[in-house]
Amino acid sequence: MKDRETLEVVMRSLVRIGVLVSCAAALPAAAQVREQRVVTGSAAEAAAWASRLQAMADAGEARLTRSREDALLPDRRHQRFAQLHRGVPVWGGELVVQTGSQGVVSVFGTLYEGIELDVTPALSPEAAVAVVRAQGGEPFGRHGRPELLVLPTEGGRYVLAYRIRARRANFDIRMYFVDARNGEIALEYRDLQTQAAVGTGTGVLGDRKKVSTQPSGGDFVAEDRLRPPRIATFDFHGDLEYLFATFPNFGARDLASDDDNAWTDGANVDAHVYAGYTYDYLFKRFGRRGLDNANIPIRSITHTVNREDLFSYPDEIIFTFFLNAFYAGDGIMVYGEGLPEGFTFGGQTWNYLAGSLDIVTHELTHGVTDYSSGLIYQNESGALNEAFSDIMATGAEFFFQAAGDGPLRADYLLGEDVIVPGGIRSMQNPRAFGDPDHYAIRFQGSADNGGVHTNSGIANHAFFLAIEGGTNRHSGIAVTGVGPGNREQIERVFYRAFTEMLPASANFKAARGATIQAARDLFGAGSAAESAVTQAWNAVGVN
Amino acid sequence: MRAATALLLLWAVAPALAADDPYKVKLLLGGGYEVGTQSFSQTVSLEQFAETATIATAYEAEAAPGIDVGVQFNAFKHVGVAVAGTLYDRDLGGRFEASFPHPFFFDRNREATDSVSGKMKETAVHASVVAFGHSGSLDFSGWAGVSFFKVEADLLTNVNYSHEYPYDSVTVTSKPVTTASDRPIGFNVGASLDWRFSKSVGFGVQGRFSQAQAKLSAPNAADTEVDAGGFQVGGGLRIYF
Repeated sequence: MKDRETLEVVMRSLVRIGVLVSCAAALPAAAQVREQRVVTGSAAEAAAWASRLQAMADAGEARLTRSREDALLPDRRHQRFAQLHRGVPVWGGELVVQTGSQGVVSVFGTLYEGIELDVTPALSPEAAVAVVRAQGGEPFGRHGRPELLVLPTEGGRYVLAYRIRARRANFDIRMYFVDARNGEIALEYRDLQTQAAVGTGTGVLGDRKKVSTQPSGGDFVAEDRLRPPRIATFDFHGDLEYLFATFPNFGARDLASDDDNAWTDGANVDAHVYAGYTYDYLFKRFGRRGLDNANIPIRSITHTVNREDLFSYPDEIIFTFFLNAFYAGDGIMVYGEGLPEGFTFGGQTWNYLAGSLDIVTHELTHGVTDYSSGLIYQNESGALNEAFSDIMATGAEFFFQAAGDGPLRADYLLGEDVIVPGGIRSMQNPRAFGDPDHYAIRFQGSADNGGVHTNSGIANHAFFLAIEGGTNRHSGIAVTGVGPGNREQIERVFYRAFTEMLPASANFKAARGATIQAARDLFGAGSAAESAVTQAWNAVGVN
Repeated sequence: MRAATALLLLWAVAPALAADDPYKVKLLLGGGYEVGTQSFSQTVSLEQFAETATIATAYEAEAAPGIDVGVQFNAFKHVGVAVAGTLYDRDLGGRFEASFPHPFFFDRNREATDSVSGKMKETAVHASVVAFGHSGSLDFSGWAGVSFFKVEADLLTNVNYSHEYPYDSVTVTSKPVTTASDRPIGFNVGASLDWRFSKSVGFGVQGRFSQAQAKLSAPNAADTEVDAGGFQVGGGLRIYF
């Protein structure tokens, strides 16, 4: 710095005597944000910075804001100094000094240079609060009171601003910086502070994915704080009795955990990750905020039993906790354990049921139905309830996976990734699993709540035809679908009809009317979507 | 008008003064202009969300005026040594292209691009051997030697951003920089033409080419190689002893 100053003195002198006019442009420009990061590498550097800091403090350019003894090293102390400009704090300007018995040990921080700003605000604190309120924010807490400070902006200039923390709808906490000269928002950011961590995980099928977790006591737990609702996954380690004893009041101690955030338990990974994917699908496709559209927490339960204990359980436990996944209400999902290797049921192997995106979305969609139409889970309304879960499940698959056959591919099969071969239902060809693809051949018995998992094939097939087109085998009626590139249209039609328009006791005829109306609402009368949906219901015999 | 008249008078008497009165020491006080722009690039890499974020920045230092001062000692009839100091403070602009990993998905980066601005300062000491001669009131000289540079440049260390669920895009909130520096050694060659209009005062113009390669270290980035120096033209006052 010394050589620079000397040269500048010489240069100014030369300019003054008229010799060096052209060099005046080399003088530094004023008032541009200059950030200096301070990282001392030696005791000498640290001492030099401490000396400079002391000079700043003496000149009123810095203020000690905190001084604490080191909790680990007895002779150490940590002091924080806030940078000031004419008595006003500079946002982000702070130096942290560590001292020991031998003097200054280290200095870290950031200083801003070249500040030339009048610190007299034109705006009152009350007026700044009014600006925030006009943005839908309600100031709260310690930082809810306007604090005048100098803000180094991304635009490269310094702005005198009021900082105000405020809460908007849906607990959207934001930090506002209101320009104290003109009332404009100089900076705004989301200030919902979390300690989210993102780890990696290996799913049931060996695929690698990111896992949103939380650090906890040296480990990481399956709790997603990055998405708006709390999404948590609980591992019961095969202790079904414990589940029965604690349900639904299980807590943080039951969260699935991993010591290095590189998760290897496929069921925990997929239950957790696919719950997040389902939330994403509902939000991005339909603007829905979770199961209740108000970000109710989503809780997934895995490993309620051990596979090796299969034969120690009665059939109802096997069919509930090994060969099933279910929505238990209040945002709680339970995923079956599948069967031990080498065992089959119905000629199929059963892997961890959480390992299939469509199964996870299917179960979570029961929650959506629970909080929207409330379709009664029996007879035709129950079949529509099941069909809607299948429709959303398939929609999520196509949203996240490439179309095709085989594992981790989007198709019109349900559960095919973990129930091998083939899964448990087909929307393209319900009859392949003994399910009806036409209303005339619907199941009319009382089993399965009146065939809710069987007659869902009728609405499922209508959904398939409306997208892909084709001919119904029973009626021979051909349908011109909107095409795979427009699948979003049909997904939105069914979503709108099933969440907003159907009553709890709806039957297939009501579903036909609601989806056609939804197609008109969304895409207009006579639109390709309306035509496809109408033709599809005609083809499956729902008139 | 008075100054112009004085200059004319000086010019009229200068030839005799210069030719008959060789000097031992010449002071050079003046300025220069670093011609041309200087381009270099830097890549910052950071671990984010179990992947690597990259921020690739292309910088360009603008041509700029500066200070050029020196002293020449004439050891022999036509040979001397000179030491010159130069200072160029250049505006450093640039543009980065950043790729930030998505918190939920592999291989689904969020892109951001923006400009950066700062300063690049070159301070140099040029030690040279000078060959010189004169013709009437004109002195001419050429030199070559070693140059000791100090190069300082404002380089990005990170790009801070805000993002909100579903995190498919980012908004750049700040672009912290650090002033990285290096002290490379290089060379310089040059020539000057001076008009000596009195026994002890003259005016000269000069051209110098100097070069050295600096390696600037910034956090989170591999060393950035920057060519220091370049072609400089300038001129100024000459004082003879």
